[in-house]
Amino acid sequence: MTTMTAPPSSKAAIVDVPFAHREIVARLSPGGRYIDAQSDIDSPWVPFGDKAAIKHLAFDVRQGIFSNILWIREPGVIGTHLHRGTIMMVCLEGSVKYLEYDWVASPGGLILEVPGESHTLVTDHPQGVKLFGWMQGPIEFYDENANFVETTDVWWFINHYETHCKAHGIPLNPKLYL
Amino acid sequence: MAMTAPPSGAYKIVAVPELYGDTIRRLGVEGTYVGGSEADSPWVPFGDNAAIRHLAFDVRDNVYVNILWIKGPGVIGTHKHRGRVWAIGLEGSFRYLEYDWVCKPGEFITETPGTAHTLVTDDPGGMKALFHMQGANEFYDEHGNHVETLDVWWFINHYETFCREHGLPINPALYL
Repeated sequence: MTTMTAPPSSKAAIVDVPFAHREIVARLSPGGRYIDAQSDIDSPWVPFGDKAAIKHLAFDVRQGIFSNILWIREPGVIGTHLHRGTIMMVCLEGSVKYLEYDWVASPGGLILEVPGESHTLVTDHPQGVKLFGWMQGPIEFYDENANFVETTDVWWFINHYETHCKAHGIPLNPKLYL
Repeated sequence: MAMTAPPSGAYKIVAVPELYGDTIRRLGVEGTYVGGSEADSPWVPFGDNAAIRHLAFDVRDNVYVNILWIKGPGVIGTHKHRGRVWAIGLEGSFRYLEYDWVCKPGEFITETPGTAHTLVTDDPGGMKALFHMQGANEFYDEHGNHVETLDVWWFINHYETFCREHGLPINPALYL
């Protein structure tokens, strides 16, 4: 057997790929989609405290998945929280670290977080940080005295988005709901 | 202190605090129940000696759950998994030619991406097992030629084609 070492077609044309179940996919798949993040047309920045905001990108209520961009606009902290699911984040701008680890994330870098870890997100960058996240499962937030405050999951993130939209007369974007 | 037993034994529904109940009621997807009858989900032939009873399809995660029934000693030929499989034996017994164990009722197996294997039942009554599968399964003929890749779409088509041909209603409880 030979292995592929490059994409086998570089033709800038749609190739009709054989697949037996196109009709079922068309009928039952929710379909992929594109959500723009350069403007606020697809999704607005929703305040998350005084220094931060969240641009919600996707909600999957069947798997408890939520995706968004977290923007901390200046040096600041997202206090200690514990993950019950798996998180993937990409640093888009600025920089960010966790008090628990010895690395500092810079643009393009990938952050993986796994169930059972708790950590404290800090940006020391003058312009703060923008982080793209793809997250599954609950995140438990604690106050500075380690008192449990709330568990956030896909429902919290939907409510955060929809409450802001309702308060500002912004129509809900059905593309955000997988 | 860690919980060592369920903290409530009350034989009643306890109102659980829920900040986003309205959102859950509006956007959440209710769980479903698929009963044991053929009206809930029929046995769909899979070759002459086997049948599949489809139980769940998740098109977002490419997950499908079903019961495989091989009615007498027989083989499900070599296939390769690109996703993850969990299965539990329900009746009879089966094994894979690649491994040294035999799965009997109540016994549990895990299969992982990249593994290929050949399912055999030597039991006079065959086997039944519940399979929870994610991702693609590639089926090969006895000469190692790839024949078809099966995933959630194949399993939906297998179920729906049989229902259409026999005038059976499609059961929406199977679709997550």
